[in-house]
Amino acid sequence: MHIDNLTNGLRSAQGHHLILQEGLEMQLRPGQFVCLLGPNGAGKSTLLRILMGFQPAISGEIRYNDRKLDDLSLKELAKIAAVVLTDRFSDPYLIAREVVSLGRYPYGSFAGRLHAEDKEVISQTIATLGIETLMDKVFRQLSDGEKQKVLIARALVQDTPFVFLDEPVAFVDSPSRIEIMEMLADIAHQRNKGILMTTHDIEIAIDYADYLWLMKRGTPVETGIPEDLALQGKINTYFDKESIQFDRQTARFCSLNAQSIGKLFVKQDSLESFWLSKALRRKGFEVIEGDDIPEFGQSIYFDGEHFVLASDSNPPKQFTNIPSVLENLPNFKDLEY
Amino acid sequence: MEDPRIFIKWFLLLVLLSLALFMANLWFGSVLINWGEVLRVLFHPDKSQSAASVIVNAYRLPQAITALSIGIILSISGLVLQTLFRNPLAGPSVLGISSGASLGVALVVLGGSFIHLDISALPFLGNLATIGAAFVGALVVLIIILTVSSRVGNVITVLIIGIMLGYAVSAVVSVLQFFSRSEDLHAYVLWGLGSFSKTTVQQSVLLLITAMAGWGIIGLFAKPLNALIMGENYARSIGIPTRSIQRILILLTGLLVAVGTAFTGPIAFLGLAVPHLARALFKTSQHKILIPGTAIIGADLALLCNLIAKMPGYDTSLPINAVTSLIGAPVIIWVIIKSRHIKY
Repeated sequence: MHIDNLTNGLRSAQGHHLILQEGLEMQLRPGQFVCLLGPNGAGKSTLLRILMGFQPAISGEIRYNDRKLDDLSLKELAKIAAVVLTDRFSDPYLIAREVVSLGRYPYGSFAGRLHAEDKEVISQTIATLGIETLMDKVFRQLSDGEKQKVLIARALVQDTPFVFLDEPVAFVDSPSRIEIMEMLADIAHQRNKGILMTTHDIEIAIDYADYLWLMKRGTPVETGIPEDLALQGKINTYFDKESIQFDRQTARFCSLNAQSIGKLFVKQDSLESFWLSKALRRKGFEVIEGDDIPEFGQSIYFDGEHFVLASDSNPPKQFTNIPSVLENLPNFKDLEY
Repeated sequence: MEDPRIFIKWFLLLVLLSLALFMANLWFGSVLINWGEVLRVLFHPDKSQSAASVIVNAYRLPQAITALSIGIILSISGLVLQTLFRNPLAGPSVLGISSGASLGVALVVLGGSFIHLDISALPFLGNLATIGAAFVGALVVLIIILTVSSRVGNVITVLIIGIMLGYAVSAVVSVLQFFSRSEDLHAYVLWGLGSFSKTTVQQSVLLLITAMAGWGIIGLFAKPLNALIMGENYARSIGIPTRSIQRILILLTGLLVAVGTAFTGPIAFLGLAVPHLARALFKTSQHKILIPGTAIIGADLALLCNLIAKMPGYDTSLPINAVTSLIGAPVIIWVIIKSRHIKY
């Protein structure tokens, strides 16, 4: 799929188009898993809608296998690209299997009977995704994560070289989120599909996507592999706010507003000390991590059984767990490292 | 409903029920005619010119056929509109089509007093004029709705415009009512209460053909209707031309309701309630099952309502709208409470 000199935005009949980005040049090839990232209102969903022909672009061109989107009939497009949308539907009796079966519609007659081949594709897909147990359940009684898997199965049985997903992991719990991301990456690589999904979850996109498309209102879209974009500081340019910054050390966003209420050294040699550091940071401490306990100041280490607070002026103190460390925090307030 | 055999079993049962109700409609009435007589009149029509023959052939038969047909027409239309607008409270009245019919009839029945001509009181022409006016009124509203829907893409906008149009039309009707003579007002109110008994045999057969044709044509749209449950975007993405399908279906249901309302007046609740009954009974969202299911339940319920309205054994009968509402409203409440599923 080629996007040529596209102007993304919303058309209006009065001519006051809302232009979000101009001169977009992107490509999506089968076998690629691409995450389209951007803050709310950047135009991610709008671009997806334009790619699907739901709404016209303000200007520019989209081509699928060297055929213009405008020249494709609905039926032809249905065999090129499938979608998972955020549109909700909650018919009280709609069964997951019926949702999945609708994906075969482009291959059927108007009456839409399922042939043996359709049934084969459907059962293969649900087996690959491991969602056999969901198939006979009422769709709207499924959890958000299960719904997404069923919708992904529906898009897959449509048997298209491209799949577009709008926020498939937005309301999904963390384990399912990872499951879905792995699922999508596998589908792209093993079934040689071009998958484009929108999300605002940068941290998870970095972990799984082959390419990122970074999007922001009024600026051109930046494309590249996640690690490269992070190193070049592009992720910072697109997403940092005044007080929130993408930390390239941890690949996470962190707040710059945090006021330090004291400095503490935490010796990093165990799982316990890792989580202690986390707890102390949350309480507002500036935590310094290292392998060797410094001579001066306050430091904490985990001796295998207890958390030990050592200081250059007082005798060491022992704490049995993280809560008891935190309870004694006010005492350290005035101490400077 | 996984097993199609259960559906077929229920469907056959409902067909048998409709046959029984149909026969009961011929049998019962203010005058009791015994079974043998009814059957003899039906199957050997030339042999009797008795009172029974006149009652059955001229009154009860067209009335029963009309009830059956209007039950099918309104229920299927309701089902299609509920799916189309993705709204459980959509029904034949929401498009403003029955209001359009009311306006047409109001102009003929009430407007007569302005030109000092009592059209509706004319013996044969009056009935035809009323039917024609209702049909034209309904059609005018339908054309407005279709024009609007081709301009604005959003189907919900069409729904809202239909409802607003209904209010506007009702306002015009109230003005007409305010200035009309009390006899005309009475005639208009009677029309508004609905009746299955104003049709001739030919007209009732025409209604039946309309109902069957409508059922058949709408049946062809079962699969696109299933897809529309997921919304317009999903339907488009699998290659369904949603705009034209919506327009065709609005036109189809509009025509059906226009024809039906022309002959019977506006009938409340059937179109709204029956699709919910069908969903609750068949426990499916698939239109392949829901369309015939809704049609047959609609026919059954309309025949039952007509039977109740006749108040067998009494000299008088109830207005059909009172019966459909009295049955329809509790049905809706029962379905909502029982399933707690009517939430979109």
